[in-house]
Amino acid sequence: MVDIKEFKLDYYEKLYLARHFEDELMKLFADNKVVGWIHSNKGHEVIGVSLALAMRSHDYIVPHHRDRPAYLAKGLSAKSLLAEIMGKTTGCCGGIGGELHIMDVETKIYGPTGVLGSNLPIALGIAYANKLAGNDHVVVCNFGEGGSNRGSFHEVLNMAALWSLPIVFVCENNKFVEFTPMQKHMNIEDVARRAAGYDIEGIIADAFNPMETYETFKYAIEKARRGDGPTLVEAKTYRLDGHYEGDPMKYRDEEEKKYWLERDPITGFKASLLNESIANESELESLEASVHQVLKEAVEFALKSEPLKVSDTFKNVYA
Amino acid sequence: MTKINFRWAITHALDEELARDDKVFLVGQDVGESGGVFGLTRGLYEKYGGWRVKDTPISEEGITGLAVGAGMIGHRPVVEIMYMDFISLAIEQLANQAAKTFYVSGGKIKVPMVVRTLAGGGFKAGIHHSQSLESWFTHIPGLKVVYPSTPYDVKGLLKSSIRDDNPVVFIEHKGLFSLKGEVPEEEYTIPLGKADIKREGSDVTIISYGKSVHQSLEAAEALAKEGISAEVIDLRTLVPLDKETILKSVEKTNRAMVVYEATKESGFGAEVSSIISEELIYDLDAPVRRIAGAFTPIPLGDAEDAHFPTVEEIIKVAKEMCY
Amino acid sequence: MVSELKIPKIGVEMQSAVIDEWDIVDGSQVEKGEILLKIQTEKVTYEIESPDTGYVKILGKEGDEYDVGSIIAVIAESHEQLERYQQPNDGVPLEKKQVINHMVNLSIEQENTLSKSEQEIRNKNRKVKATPLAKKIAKGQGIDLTTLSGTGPGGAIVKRDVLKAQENASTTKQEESGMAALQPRSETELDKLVANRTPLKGMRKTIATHMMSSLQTSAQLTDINEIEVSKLVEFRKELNEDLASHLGFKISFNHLFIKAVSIILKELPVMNSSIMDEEIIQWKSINLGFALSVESGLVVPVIKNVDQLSLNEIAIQFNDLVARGKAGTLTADDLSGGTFTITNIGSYGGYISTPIINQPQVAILGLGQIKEKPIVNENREIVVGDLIGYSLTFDHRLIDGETAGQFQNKFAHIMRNPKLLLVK
Repeated sequence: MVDIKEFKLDYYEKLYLARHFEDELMKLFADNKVVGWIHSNKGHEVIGVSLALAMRSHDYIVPHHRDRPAYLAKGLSAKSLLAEIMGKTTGCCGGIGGELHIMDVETKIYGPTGVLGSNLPIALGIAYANKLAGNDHVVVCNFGEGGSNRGSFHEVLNMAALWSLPIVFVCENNKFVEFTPMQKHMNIEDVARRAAGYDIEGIIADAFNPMETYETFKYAIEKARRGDGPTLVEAKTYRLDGHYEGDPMKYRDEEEKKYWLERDPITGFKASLLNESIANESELESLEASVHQVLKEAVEFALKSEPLKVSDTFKNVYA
Repeated sequence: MTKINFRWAITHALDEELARDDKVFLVGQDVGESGGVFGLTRGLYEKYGGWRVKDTPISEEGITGLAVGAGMIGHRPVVEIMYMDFISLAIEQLANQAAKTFYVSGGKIKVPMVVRTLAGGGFKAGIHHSQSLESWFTHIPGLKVVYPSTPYDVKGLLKSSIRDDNPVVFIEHKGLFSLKGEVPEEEYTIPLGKADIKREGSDVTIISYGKSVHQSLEAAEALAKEGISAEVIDLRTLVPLDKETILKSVEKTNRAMVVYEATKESGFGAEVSSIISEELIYDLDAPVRRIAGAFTPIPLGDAEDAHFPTVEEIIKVAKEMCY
Repeated sequence: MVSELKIPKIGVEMQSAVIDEWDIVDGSQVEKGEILLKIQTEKVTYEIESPDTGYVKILGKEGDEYDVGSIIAVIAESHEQLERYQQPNDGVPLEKKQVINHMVNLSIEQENTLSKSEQEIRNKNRKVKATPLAKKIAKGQGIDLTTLSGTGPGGAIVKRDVLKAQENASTTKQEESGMAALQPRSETELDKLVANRTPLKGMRKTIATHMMSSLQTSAQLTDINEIEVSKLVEFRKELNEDLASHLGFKISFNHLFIKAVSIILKELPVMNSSIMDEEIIQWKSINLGFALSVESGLVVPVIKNVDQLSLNEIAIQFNDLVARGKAGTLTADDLSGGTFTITNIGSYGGYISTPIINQPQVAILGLGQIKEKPIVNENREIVVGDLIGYSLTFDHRLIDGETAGQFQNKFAHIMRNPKLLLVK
């Protein structure tokens, strides 16, 4: 049995790490040290971290591009992650994948792709293979509400449901797909309703509520592990930054942004820890300081590391 | 040696690999309980069960991606795309995901999957059931493409493809199903990337694959009677290509043609022809010719024969080249 | 700031010039007024000065011809400015503006050690329709493909044609075993040894072009004869005895002949014409050019309005032009506007010739040496006289034999009555 205090501290630490990783990343981007685009993951911390906490270490995640909180919480080192985003050979993919293609065998991160929605069939395959092998590993597959409009979503939910595969579908609905608000390209407001079309359970979670989200994920994952089939969890969140750095966000309402910023779950969670006497200020401060230290070392490490060599880009076409 | 037909060679290959390695499994429409639309997976469902031989809904992208995912974590899935005409739906997973994963993961994650698909004319079933689309895939780095022509080749190559750690597009010409051929009784495999000289000759090199190999051999027989000695090379694997065998042959004969059923324009023969021109231009005593499919969709019925290469055409062109 | 150096218009007739030689290297620093290059017009070589101080970028090529106004170089304050400079279209040499069918130079191998005959065979073979294999074999055997006929499609030469030729060649070789198959180790061209090679350019090229063009555009023929000039010889002797000290120089036969021709042209204006653009233009001005041999070749300085000049003035101008011609300081003006030309073939010992008309004129008078020869006088006695050979080339498009005859008669008349030279 896990001690609730320890659990929550761990949760907070991971949330804090996820949020400040993004801050460091934004700073590096502004400093022109990052190759290519980056997509801010702010607002998705609760989803990623709670998933990692709800999963066991041998469970798989087949994520999309806003799941860095999950990678870090699952155990991928900040050094390895940052180095990869910055195109360094010390990154988890040798610097060739960059932000969109974080894959790691040890922490069981597979299949993210720049073609949004194409990770779903891959997740299906991993779940199928696990069922075939007869183990109790679960697959979590993340995508945005936009990805749920892909044909692949429908093919995959159908098959996952049909074969009762050990998979949890997590739709991270931040209400925007690139620059378009959700209402402009979907006829429904809750993606979770699509679950009914496949006769599986669809649950909505408030991704700004850490404990609720965790409990929901825990439920779905254990259900899959038991062999009771897939669940579609729609985690409603709000994207705090633009689609990618540099996005002027003209399409956002100032009022709306203000509303969400006031409800930031991380500051809220911190407050609850203090209120529930799970920790005091100084404990939290030292926890935060150690996170900053980890990040500081990660930044130094990534900056110091060798960038990908051109000759490296001609390797690994075939195994 | 026993004599079996092409379709049985496929079934046996799948059977042997399923038995050999429990990481191997099959998915596809009707591959399971009904033994496959063409009977190619006959008996396997009964032998290995519904999880290793899985019937799927009509979801080509989904099942190809399924194979990608399963392959990533160490399984060896074999997907059947019933007609190659439908493979367009699977391209996203093949070209963008399967082909690039090993590369983008820095050499850490392999995708050892096989997409088996039935191609070519012969059923006279028209536009969406007759195409040969290998050049869509020979153009994607990271994929291998195999296109055998005999029972011996199809069995040996299918086994190798399943054991290969890369995504392989394995093309089976539906017009060859009843073709009988000698196959060893003991276990054997044929390595990918090696062409086979099906007939030796000295006057002209005919390079081919799939069903067109047989037409080429027939033409070579007729040409021999007229004093023209044709060498017939069966490529067997398109990617990786056995350049060495091709170039060695053309250097000897000084004349080359490529015969293939797929559309001529931008077809694989264009690639072979370019390679020959680039590397052997000063040894050519005639232009490199391509005899291939017409630049039209494939019509219904017997008319399809007029859109594909014929033995007569091969003979005619060979004579033109051998003035 | 970037300054453009263009081909200047020097002289009214100038249309274009050839870049003879650049005196500076591309990219070097130059001063305003510094001589950058020499250009060559039809008549004269000019030195061109830099319009500015700075770094120069050379755009025009030595040996190429450019229209007046073409930009042939730019001078800028910095190398960066030079790099950024975009040439507006017409730095293109005239030849290249014409339709060019470039032969893409497919070198089979990097054989820098090819002898000239091998290179020639290769160049010829390149244009022949043959398969690559046939060409390869032919090259290896030194076989000239233009000597073969092809049995391949469309008459292309194929391998067996070359092999056949090889077979025949070797049998012939065996037959001619007496002939040494070894080539001398020096450069050969069409079975002859080469002493040296220079490109055809500059004034030589200009002359070559002009002469060819003259013969091709007009219907030239030459009347050749000799006339007695004993009186002229006498006349000149007297003149110089009396006047040389006054004038400070001697009157030469050249001066006298020029004066003579100027008188004739006044009376026979059709000989002072041009055919241009389907029009016959009879010139009012009588500008007499005379051929002058200089170091770089041949120039034709012109004495303008010679009909208005006295013998003395003619002599002065003539002498001045000759001096400047030898010094290489003739201007375009000195060399333009001629309507008739005299060429003194006697200056190199010639007597008669078939001179080529200086376009766009319609005649040219060649005058040979003055020789002592036996003549028959009124008493049918053989005596010694002074004779001069002359050759009058005229353009039959305009001048008929009779007119040419009139010219010659008048000339003979003046020669017999040289005092006319002072009076007319």
